[in-house]
Amino acid sequence: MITGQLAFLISDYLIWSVTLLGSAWLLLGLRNRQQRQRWQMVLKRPTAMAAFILLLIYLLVALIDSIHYRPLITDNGDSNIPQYAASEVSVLDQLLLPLSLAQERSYSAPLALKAFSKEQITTSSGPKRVYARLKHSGAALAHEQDHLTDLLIRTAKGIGLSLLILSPIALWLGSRKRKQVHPNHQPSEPSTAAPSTIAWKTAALTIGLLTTLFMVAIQLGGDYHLLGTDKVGQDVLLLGLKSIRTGILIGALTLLIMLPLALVMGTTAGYFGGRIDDLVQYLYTTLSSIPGVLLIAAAVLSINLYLDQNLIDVVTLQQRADLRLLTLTGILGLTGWIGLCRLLRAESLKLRELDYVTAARAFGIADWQILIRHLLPNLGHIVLITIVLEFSGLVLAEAVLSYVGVGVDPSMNSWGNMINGARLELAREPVVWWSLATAFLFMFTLVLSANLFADAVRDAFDPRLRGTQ
Amino acid sequence: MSSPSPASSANSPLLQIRDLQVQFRGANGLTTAVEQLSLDIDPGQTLVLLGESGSGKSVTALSIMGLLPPAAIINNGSIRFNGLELTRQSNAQLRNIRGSHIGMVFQEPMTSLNPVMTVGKQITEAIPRKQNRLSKVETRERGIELLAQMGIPEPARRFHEFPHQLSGGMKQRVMIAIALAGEPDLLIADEPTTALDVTTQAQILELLKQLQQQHNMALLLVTHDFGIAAQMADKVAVMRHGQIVEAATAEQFFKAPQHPYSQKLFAALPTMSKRGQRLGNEPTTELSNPKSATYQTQSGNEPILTVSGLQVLFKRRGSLFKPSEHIYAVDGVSFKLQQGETLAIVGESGCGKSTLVKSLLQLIRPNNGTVKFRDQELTQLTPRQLRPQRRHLQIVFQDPYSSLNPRMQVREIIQEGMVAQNIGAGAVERAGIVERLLADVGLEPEALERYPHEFSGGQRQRIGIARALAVEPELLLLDEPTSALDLSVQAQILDLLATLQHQRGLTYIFVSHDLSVVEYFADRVAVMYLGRIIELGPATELMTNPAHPYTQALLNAVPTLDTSNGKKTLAPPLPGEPPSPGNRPTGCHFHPRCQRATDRCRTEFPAVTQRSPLHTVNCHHPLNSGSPD
Repeated sequence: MITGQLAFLISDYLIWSVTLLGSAWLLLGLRNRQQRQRWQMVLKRPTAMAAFILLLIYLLVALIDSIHYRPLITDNGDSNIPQYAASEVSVLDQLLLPLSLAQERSYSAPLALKAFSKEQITTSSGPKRVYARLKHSGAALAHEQDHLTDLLIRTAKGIGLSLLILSPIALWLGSRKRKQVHPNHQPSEPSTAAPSTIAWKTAALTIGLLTTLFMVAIQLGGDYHLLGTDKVGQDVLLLGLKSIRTGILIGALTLLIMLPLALVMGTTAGYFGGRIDDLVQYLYTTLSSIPGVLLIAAAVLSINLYLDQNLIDVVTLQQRADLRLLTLTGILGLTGWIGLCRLLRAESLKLRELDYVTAARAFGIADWQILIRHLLPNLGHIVLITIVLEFSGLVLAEAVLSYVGVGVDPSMNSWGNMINGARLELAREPVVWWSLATAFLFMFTLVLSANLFADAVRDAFDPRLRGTQ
Repeated sequence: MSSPSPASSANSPLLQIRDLQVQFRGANGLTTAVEQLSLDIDPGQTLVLLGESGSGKSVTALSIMGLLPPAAIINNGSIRFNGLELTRQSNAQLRNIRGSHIGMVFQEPMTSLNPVMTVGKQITEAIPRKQNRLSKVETRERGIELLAQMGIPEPARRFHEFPHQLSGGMKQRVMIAIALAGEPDLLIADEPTTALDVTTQAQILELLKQLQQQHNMALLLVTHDFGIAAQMADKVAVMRHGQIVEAATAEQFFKAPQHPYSQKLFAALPTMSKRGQRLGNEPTTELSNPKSATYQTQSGNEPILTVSGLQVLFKRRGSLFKPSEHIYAVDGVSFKLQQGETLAIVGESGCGKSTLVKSLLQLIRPNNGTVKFRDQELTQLTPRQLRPQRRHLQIVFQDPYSSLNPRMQVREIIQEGMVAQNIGAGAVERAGIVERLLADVGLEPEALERYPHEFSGGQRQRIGIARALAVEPELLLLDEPTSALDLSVQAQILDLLATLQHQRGLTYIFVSHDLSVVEYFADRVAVMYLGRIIELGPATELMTNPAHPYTQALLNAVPTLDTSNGKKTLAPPLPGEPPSPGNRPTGCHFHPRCQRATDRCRTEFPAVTQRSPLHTVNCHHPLNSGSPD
C-alpha cells in the first residue's frame, strides 16, 4: 500500500474539471432525443467506434497520470511526524515503477539483450570492447540462444492470458444473445438485424485486440525493454506513455481558453454587427497577420524569463514544468481562436437574419437571451466539429514547437521532446529509430483517432451534410 | 391518355411515354417517385403536367432528358421520342438529343446560369456548331439573333454581359435562348416562372407562346399553377403520388374535372366568388358569421392602427469615389386599420412590403412618420418601453422552414413569447394555454414534445401561427403566409386564419404577391410600388374596377382560369422590369412603364385622389375617369 499526501498540480485540477464538465455537458445533451440520435449515428460507424475507444483509453491514461501526490518517506522511521518526498509523483508513475527503475546506461534496441554500442570491459585476457549485456533485459535467461524462444513463449503467454480473460466475457455475451434469439423462434434472423444501431461488434473487437496487446506488452515489457531505451537508458515505452498526458493537456486546455474567446467574440460580432463587428474583425486580422510560430516563440521565451526571475518560491521541478505547460497552452489558445471565431461570426451573420430570430425580437426578448437560446444551440455543431478537428492539430503543434525549442519544459515528457532528442541520432549508423518511431506511433494513433472521430461527428452534426448519404 | 387528335393519328406522337416507373434508392430501400405513367405529346402541342410538390412532375421531366440523379433507376416502361427509345440510349447518344432535339428550362434562373461566364458564351456553347458548320463570327451573330428573338433590348450589348448584370426575367429569357439554341422539337419547361413576379411571368409566358408558334415546337410545361395551365395548355395531365390521375384536353378539364382529386384542387383555389366560404374539405359550408362580400365601414370605431408618413431609409455606404446614397425602401406610407378587418398589401418583389411589416413591428426603426397602435405611438419608444407593447402586434412568416428554431421543441417555441411577455401565471397555467392553442390551430397534443423537422410545411405554419397567438395579439401581420405552401395546404391555412379571425376578433395585415389569394381573403387592398402605396381601397371594388394603371397591369398579368371569352387572350403584358428602389424614377415612379404617362407624371408625384369614400389612388390620370388631360 502506497501512502502519501495528495498534491495536485494546477494542470491536474484543470484536466479533471474539463473532463467532468465535458462529460456532464455530453450527458445532459443525451437527454435530448435529437442529440442522442446524432451520437448514435456517430457510433454507428465502425471506424468512429474504434477511434472513440482509443481516445477513451488515451484519456484514461492521462487522467491516471494526473493524480499527483507526495509519497511518504519511510526510511527514517523514528519520528512521529510523517515526512513526504519533495517531488510529486503520479499514480501512473507508481504503476510504471518497474519500468522507470530498469534504467540502462544508454541506447538499446527494442527487445535487445545487449547494448547498442560497444563498451570497454576488463576480462581475464585484458580490456576488451564488447556489446555489454543489459542489466534489466532478459535477466532470467540462462543462455543467450534462448532469446528468441523466450520472446515467443512470452508472446504466447500474453495471448493465452488475454484469451483467458476474454473468453468468459465472450461466452456470457454469446449466451445472452442466444437467450434473446430463441424465444423469437427466428433463428434465420440474427439479433443484429434488430435496430441495434451502434457498432457493438467493432467495439468488442477493438477492446479484444487492445486487451491482447496489453497482456503481451506486460509479458514482454516486464523483462525486456519492449521499445528499447533512449540516450540515458530510460525505457522508451515509459516515455511514450508519460507523454500522453502532455499531449492531451495541450489539446484540451488550449481549447478551454480558445472556446470562450471565439464564442463570445464570434457571436457578438455576427449578431450585433456595426462597431463591435469592426473591433473584432480588426483584432483578428491583426493577430492573423503576425506569423503564428514567431508570436508563440516570442511569448513563450519572454514568459519563461519572467517565471525564472520571479518565481523562486515555486519549489519543485514538476510545478515549474507545469507552469511552463500552462503558459504554452495559454499562448496557443490566444493565437488559435481566430479560425473558429471567423466561422462563428459568419454563421451568426446568417442566423440573425432567420425568421425565428426575428420572431424572438418581435416578442421583445433581450439580445443576450436570443444569443443563448437561438444562436448558441444552432452553432453547437460548428463548435463540436472544430473542437475535435482542432484537437489533433494542437497535439501536432506541441511536437513542432518542442522541436523548435519553444515547447514544453525539457524535463517534461512529451512526444515533441522525444522527437527532438531522437533527431540527431538519425544520422547514426545503424540508425537509432525507436525513439522516433515510438513518439510517432503514440502520436499517430491519437491524431488518427481524433480525425476519424471528427469525420464521423461532422457527418452526423453538420446540417449541410445531413441526408447526403 | 387515349384521345389521339386527328393530326396525330396519321403520324405517331413526338413523345410517347408508356408505363414509366422511376424509383429512388435510399436508406430505407426503394421509394417510388413515378409509377405507371403514360403520356403523348404531338408536334406543336402543349401538354401541362399539373401537380403539387412531391407529385413526381420534375422527375418525369428529368427522366425524359436522361438527367435523373444517380440514385434514381428507371425500372420499367419506355420513353419514345420520334420513334427512338430514350431509356436505352447511352449518355453520349443522349447528348446529341439534348439541346438539338429536346431543350429544357429550369425553375431557378439565378442558379441555372454560370456566374463567371458571359451570357453570350453560354448561349453559343449551346449552338450545335459542327452540325451547321458555323464560323466563330456566324455563331456570335446567331447568339445575338437568339437574344433579340427573346425580346431582350440591346442584344449585342447584353451578349457580353455577365448573369449578375441581368434581372431575373432577363435571366430566364437567356435560359430560354440557350434551350432554343439547338432548335429543339420539344421544349421542357419545369416551373419556368415560379421564381418570377407576376408581370414578368406574363411576359415569359407570352414569349413561350410566340416561340412555340414560330418554331412549331412541342411544349411540356410543368407547373403547380392552375392559371398558367388554363392559359397555356392544349392537354392537361394531373399528377399525384407519382401517377397521372387525370388526363384530358384543356377544354374538358377546365369545364368539368373528372377525378375527385382534381375537383378537390379546384375547390381549394381561392377566388373572389368564394369569399366567405371555406376552401378546405367542406367547400359549401359557410362560416357561421361570414364576412360580407363588400367591406362595411366601421367609421364609428377608433382605428386599431394608424400609420402616417412612414419612411424607412437604408443607407448604402459609399466609398472614396462614390458618395453614399439613400435607398427609400418605404416612403410616405399612411393608412388606418379598423379592428377585425383584413388589409392586404400587394406588390412585386422589392416594392418594400416586408420592410413595411418590419417597420410596423419596430424591428426596423422607421426614419420618419408615426405608427400608432390604439393611442400608443410606437416609433418614439425606447426598447424597454416598447417591450410591453410587443404583445399586441405579432408576425407570421413566409418560410415555414426558417421560422422555427430547429433545436427547440414545439412546446418551448410556443411558450417563449409567453414567458417574455408574462402571460399565464406559472408553468402549469402556461402549459394549459399552450395545449388549447395547439388544438385551436389543428395539431395533436403529441406535437408538443417534437421538433420542427418532424412536421410538414403546413404543420410548421400552424406552429408559427400558434406561436404568434400565444401572446394574445390583437393585430397579426402575415408576411406571405401561404406562398411557400401547396394549393391544398394553402386552402387549409387560409381556412384556419379565417376561423381564428372570427373567434378572436383578430385584425390582419396580409402581405402577398398572389392576387387570387388577396381577392379571396382581404377586406381592403393596398397596392405598393417602389415603397409607396399607390392605390388603396375595398378589395371587391379595387379588383373589379382598378384606378391605377399599375393595379390594372397586375390584375391583367395574373393568369386566370376563365377561358370562356375566347381562349387564351392574355392582355399585353406590362413592359419593362420593376426599377430598383435605389434608383427610382422621378415624379410618379411608375411613369416609364405607363402608357398613360404625360410630362406631368415625369416631374410630379401624384397626390392622393379620393375615388369613392374608401378608395384612394395616387395617379394623375386614373382609369375609368374620363380621358387623360
